[in-house]
Amino acid sequence: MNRIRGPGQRPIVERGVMELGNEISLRPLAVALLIFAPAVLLAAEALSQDSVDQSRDDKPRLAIHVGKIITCVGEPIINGTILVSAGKIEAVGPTAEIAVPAGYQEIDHRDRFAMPGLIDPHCHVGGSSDLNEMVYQTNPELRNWDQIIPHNDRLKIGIAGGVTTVCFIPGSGTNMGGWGVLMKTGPGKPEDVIIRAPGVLKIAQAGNPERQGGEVGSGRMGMNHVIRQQLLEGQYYVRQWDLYEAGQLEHPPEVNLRLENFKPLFRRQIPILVHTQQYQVVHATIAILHDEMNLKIIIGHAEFNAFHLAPELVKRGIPVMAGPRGFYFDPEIGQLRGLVAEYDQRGVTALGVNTDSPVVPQEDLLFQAAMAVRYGWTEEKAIRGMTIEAAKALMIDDRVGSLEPGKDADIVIATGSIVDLRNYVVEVFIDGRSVYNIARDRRRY
Amino acid sequence: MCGSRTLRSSFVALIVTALLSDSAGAQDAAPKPNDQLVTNKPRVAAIVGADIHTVTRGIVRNGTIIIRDGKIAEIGQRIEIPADAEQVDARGKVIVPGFIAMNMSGLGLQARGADRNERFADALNPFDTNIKFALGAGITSGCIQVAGGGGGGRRGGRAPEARFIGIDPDEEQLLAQGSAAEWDYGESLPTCPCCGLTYLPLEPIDESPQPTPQQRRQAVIKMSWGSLDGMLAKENVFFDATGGALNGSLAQYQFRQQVARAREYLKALAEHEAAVRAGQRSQPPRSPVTDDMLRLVKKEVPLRASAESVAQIRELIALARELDLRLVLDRATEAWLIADEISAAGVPVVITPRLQRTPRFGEEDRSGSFIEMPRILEEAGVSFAVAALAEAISLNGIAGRDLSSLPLEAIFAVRGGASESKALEALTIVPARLLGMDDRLGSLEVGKDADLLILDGQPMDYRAYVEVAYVNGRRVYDRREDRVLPVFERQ
Repeated sequence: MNRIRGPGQRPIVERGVMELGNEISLRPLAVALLIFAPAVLLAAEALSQDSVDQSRDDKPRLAIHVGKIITCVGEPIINGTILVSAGKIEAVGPTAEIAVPAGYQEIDHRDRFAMPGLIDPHCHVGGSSDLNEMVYQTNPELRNWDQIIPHNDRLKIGIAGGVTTVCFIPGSGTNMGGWGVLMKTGPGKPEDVIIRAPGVLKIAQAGNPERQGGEVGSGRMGMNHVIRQQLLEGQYYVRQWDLYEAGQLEHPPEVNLRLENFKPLFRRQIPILVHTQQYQVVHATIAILHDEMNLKIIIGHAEFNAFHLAPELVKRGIPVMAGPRGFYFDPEIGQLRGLVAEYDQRGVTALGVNTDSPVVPQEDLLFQAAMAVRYGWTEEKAIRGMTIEAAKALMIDDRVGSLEPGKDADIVIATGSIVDLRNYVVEVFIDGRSVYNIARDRRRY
Repeated sequence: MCGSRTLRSSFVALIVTALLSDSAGAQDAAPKPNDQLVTNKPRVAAIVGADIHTVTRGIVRNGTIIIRDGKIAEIGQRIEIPADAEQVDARGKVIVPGFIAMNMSGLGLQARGADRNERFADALNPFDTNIKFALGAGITSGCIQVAGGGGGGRRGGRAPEARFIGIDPDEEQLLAQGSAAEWDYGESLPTCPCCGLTYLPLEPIDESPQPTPQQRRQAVIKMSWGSLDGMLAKENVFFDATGGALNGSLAQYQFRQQVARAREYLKALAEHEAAVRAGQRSQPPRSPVTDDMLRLVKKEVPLRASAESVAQIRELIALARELDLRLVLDRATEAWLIADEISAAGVPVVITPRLQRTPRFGEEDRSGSFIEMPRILEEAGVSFAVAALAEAISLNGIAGRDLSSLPLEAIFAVRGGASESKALEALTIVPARLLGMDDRLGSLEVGKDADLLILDGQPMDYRAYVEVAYVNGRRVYDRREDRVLPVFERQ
């Protein structure tokens, strides 16, 4: 059997229109859980170990008093109060200026810091670990949000490291691994924890997806060919639907489940998280995915000597979420370079770090940031990089990434600046619920 | 991709040239440390103005240290600076003793390392560039471990060394880099399905007996860059039973037998010597055990054994008590659960605060690792040293997971509730004691080796860099001249 199939050669899979669209249908998920009994057990275990007191109000009204609030919009607030209701932030400001309404539970963290929940833009531990389907080179038919295991053990420890949102994505075994999901790390049913599905498309341009079976794609020319071919097919499909919806086509195009998720991508509503590193590969990422295809992209990994392309990234406003490698031994100068610092020095402001968990444990997102600071970044930028910059890059800054009225009440309380490794997280709120508290739970990190 | 290999080797050449020319450049400047060594003139330096963390005798604010002939000659606030002293201005800086690594491999030795037939003294390579990376992390000495004799082979054969990634690394190269850091988990590490990088074990502790690992030879070496003089500080440091060598009743039975044979032999030897002294004819007995074992039963060296779980820790403490042996417990992951017992037994432990082990199912509060272990050990009075997650320097780019992350383990001890002074001890005087070298290393005291660091910040601040390192009184590392780590002004 020929394992290589050009995108055009694949049979179009027709399924009920009910399942299509970007909204999450829970029915297939429930079916999947029933079929995969171990997953059910794991999920059940995760839910039963839920540290949240279920008897309490699901969306409590809180007034959290904090010594210092790092909002990630504007200056930090000394001696501030955060009002939370219905899972959202209602108000943030100096305690003296915030009137606590009746019926709000007051929480005293006056000797501590508050900051927005951290966001990991590159996570592989949000669910089961079958991250790669290795038959086809491009897999736009795959999505991973049926595989999620909310609040699993690794995510739980992640919360103890302040991580409240992850971008859970397929692996880089193929050039297009499938569609990833943006999800919260806290407990709940899938529809409670998923922020957006599809969250991102995963594309890998070099290295891991190289094929050695004698087909096209053993080298970068071949890999870039199959990526372009697949995207052009998706682009054509979305354009047909756009024309139809604009009344310029009489008949609807044939539904193709394999290409459906390209709709939000080519409409620039979601980005591609690109596994790309080294100068030449990142160059191809910019040229093909951004310049040619006009897509929103995030430079993931961004390692080795790719930082020399920073001016091109700045010119185009392309965000960089670097890691898990934090430094690059530059053979030309015989010296380590801090990767994030190199981008920073070249003017990249849409800049953050990732863990690629489990490569670096989920809770070590702050450790990744601390190492970036050690190698020349600044603490203030590191805190922004793990919150608002990651939220913007993932296009979810309307929900998370800063402490502002109207946003999700994802709040991390720590003994000080979270980047200083001596400090640690004491309480975490997700959607206004306390999901981790060292006074109640055993300290996990 | 094909071109990258040739490129890589030329890069290696470049780096070596760069480093050599760097030190040559340094010699053109006023002080000529290597020349002075050659002429054996007394060398005197006075480091002035820093806050000196002596570790054993508190902190001397705005103090002066006089170094003479490789030793610390004086420390204090009102010290007259000798006329022949090279004066070093360290105002606003912090001085601490050089850090001591309990586990090192693949540095300071020739590429193949010392194998079982080779003497450490013949294998030393004071120009190994990994020494500079170690010094950049503050490591001035440590316990180097190489594969020793015998079978096994779980750890055998690998000679980790820093390799240099070209601009165009392929997967194979990256994987090789990942393993270059020589993990010592006695198990193969999982690799990420996404990028092929290894990640740390999180699984519950495996208590089943392992195939007996190859016993390793250990020596204390100093990071005396560019000089063989004083580089090999001590041989025969421990009786090595790490890697799970004493897990299980069979391994312990065989070990008991060995100890018994060693004692019988020593008794026979004593009788033989007495007979010879008495002028009688006597055949010398033959040793049925290794010299390592003889040193162990003579209490010249401690037994160093890894014991992750509570059961293993208890077994080893009982075994050492029964056989009357000195014991050092390595990777004591569950020590926090029986800190009082360990304290009562007076056994020191080596821990890696960042190492994580998932608790066993149903025993969430009674097994596995716990971030607050350093606080619990300190409160119970257990003496602990910290060890890095890996033994070798790795340049594969993952920050904070190789030997150079040693100071971060102390910072994580503080994160876990230990005091900053106890965390600094875990990098200095405690490992010095475990290595049996606290008469020379581990604190800043008059008469001890002048192995010290000038830091640009507090020792437990993750941002602090080693600006200058001295080993045996020689300035062996200068961040701004060596430029192996990033050099920038902190904003």
